[in-house]
Amino acid sequence: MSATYITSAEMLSPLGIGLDHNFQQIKAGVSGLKEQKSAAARTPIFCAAIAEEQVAEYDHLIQPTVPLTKLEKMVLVTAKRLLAQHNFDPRDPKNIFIFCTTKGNIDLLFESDTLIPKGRILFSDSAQVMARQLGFTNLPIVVSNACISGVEGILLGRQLIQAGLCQQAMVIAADLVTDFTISGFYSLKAYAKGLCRPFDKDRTGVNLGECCAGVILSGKPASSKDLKIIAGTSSNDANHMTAPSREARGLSQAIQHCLSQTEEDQLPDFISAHGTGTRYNDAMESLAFQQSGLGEIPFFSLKGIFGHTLGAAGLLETVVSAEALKQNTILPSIGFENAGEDVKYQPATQLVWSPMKSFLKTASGFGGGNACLMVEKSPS
Amino acid sequence: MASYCIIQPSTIRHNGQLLFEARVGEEQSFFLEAYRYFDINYPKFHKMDRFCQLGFLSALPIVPEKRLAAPSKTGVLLASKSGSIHTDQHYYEKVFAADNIFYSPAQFTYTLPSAILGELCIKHNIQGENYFLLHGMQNLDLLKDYAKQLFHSQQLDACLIGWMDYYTTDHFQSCYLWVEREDLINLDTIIININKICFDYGKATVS
Repeated sequence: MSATYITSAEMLSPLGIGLDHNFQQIKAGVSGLKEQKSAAARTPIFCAAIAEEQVAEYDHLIQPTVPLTKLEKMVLVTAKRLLAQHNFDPRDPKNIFIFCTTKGNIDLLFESDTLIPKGRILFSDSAQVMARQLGFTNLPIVVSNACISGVEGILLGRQLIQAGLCQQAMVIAADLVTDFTISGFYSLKAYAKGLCRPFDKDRTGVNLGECCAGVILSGKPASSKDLKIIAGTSSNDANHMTAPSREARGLSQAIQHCLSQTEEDQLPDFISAHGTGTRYNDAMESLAFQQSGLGEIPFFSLKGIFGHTLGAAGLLETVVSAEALKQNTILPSIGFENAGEDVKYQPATQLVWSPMKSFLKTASGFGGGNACLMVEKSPS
Repeated sequence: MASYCIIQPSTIRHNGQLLFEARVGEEQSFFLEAYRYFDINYPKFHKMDRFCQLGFLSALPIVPEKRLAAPSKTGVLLASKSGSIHTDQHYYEKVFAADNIFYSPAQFTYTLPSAILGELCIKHNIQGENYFLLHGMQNLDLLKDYAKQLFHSQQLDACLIGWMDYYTTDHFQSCYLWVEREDLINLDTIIININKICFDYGKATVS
């Protein structure tokens, strides 16, 4: 399978609008997690929510012609930034729009007084409104596979390009922090007491976050500096609905399949892990890295900065990691202090500069799904 | 061998043959009656939401119990328009309208439209590529094209593909197809036929 190029990448998060701005904040050690109250939790919890002041800027940035939800505005702001970077015509019937989300406009359930038609809680209706605002002529496709949605959106775009079903794909992922999703993680006892601590021995669960991230994928590079996706696959544990396989079966299978698709089973220079901060996920991931011969490869989780952004997580973390690869930096795993027995390897704890060629992005989610992809620099 | 199953309110059809029909007056308990018809012991069925029950029943007649394809080379690709909307509303009412945050952690899982992927993978030991898509193109064409590509690029040997929607007790539909590598040569024709049977059905809505 030939390579697919990431010809542009963008994002917005509680740290601000724009990938460059977010990356500077990450390097400066800023986290988007703040304590807040939720109707779905008995005690105050940490979330990475986008401030009202940022949301207030969106209308000015996108000038929508129909009423839009917060999530849709986040997507359109990100899309406009992608379009500004790159010669991509949404009206071209060879170009498609892929939207990735776990819960979409779920906040509409809580709003009785809104100008937004209730039907927009359907992901396909919401995606269609966004696609029309952007000028796409093709019907959009939504990927919703829990916490692996963002990685799978990229994989879907890549496969559709490879199959010749489209020439370029705009892939954008977004999810919100809502009482709806908080209640799920909180009642499953998977919400962290305090800040999340991915891979730490005292980790107690997730902090939820909201963000939007996107890429434009193309079969041809737009510049010699474009990164390329050289491998990717998904798998299922076929084991349990809410707990990952203790033997790390599905993720190990996905990683090994992904590595086998590279030339001479190339090893990545770093791994951008899922690292949610739950006991089972992080132990499972650590075991999968070991079983896949990646024990010595530096890795980190970005959840200590952005929280767990659900369906957006995989795309957000790919975009941030791609920037890290371009800048030859390995990012610190915020929240980690001490290794426990069930985590075999320690994540990176400091910003490290090192010449690098490629990285592996992994994700795992409810329903037993796993997905990973490998990103590489173009030879200079 | 390719095999398909279509479920509509009160009927289950397998490869064009009527497999099960709810008796008059029993439409409300269609899912339970259909489960009994298959005569299996799978207690987890009763914990699933309607959307997952619909998917579970749709796969039962067509996924072979013994198959040559390895679990890691078997995939599942599903698409829907409704997604989990029915369960989302139910969960919202039970948790927030009733102010009961510990209502049911298990039910939260079913507010993920992709929960059906997990249920199917567990039941049929499917470990390969798994996708849940939502779109307004009410036919199997995209799934067919994507499955073909995954057979080619990811070396799948078998794949379960399907469309499913669940809105209310009398508004739901599924159309599942089991495809093996040897079926690829005829897949376009098979899909054209299934699209005709299934999506000319009156309730199809394309916005």
